[in-house]
Amino acid sequence: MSAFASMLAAVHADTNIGMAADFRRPPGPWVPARVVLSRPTDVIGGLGGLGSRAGGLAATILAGDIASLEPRRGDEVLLNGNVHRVEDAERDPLGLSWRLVLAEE
Amino acid sequence: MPTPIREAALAAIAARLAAELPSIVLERARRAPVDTDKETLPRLVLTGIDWEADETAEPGSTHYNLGFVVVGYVRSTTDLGVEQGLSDLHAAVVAALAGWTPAIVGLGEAAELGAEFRLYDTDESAKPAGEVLARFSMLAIAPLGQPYTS
Repeated sequence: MSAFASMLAAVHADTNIGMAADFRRPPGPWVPARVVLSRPTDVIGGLGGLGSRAGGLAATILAGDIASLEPRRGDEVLLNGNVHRVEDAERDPLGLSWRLVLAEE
Repeated sequence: MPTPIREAALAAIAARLAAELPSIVLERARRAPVDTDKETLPRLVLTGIDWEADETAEPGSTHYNLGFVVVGYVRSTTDLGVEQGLSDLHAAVVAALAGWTPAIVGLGEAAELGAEFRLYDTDESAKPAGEVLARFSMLAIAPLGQPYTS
């Protein structure tokens, strides 16, 4: 395991940073995984200059936890009992993790 | 103290929107961003923008062209719901304003100029949300150098 892989595994395993989640490609079964969540809240430039503020939701997931799947739009992540649809997925340059942009209702 | 004709027009437009769309939150001249996660939506924000003057149209009078925008915010449970909600909100605003004339001497009818629609990116908003900006204009006529309601 590379130093970067070890670091990512340690961060995701840390209960102060990472959390348990499940991942699946519907209608497939849920696969347990560890994720690190981020909830960035930014001002969105408005059409009329007024703008708005909204929160995004992203999860970094270890590629090794979902080894057989390359995440894509339409996959699902189960967090705290809530199902979130994957809207976008971006792999890190080393292929060790995926950054998933999630939707919520 | 006389009321500037611009303010009289914007106040009348706001009153019209409030009367025609009572279930939708309406604000005027808001500066702060709308929190589409937490605030009550749909929501409209009315703001006056351009103000053009023509002193050549009529002796002793100035013909003003008031530009104003109505920005609407919508949240839904699905992306398609936002698209449809924006269409609904835009149509309701146009139906309330386009062709309507305030009952104030000197003010003409509101004219629809166009609109822009935007669904927020998933990176920007986890909840499906978006906004529409509808542009309008209104003719206002006042005595030369006296841009007030009579």
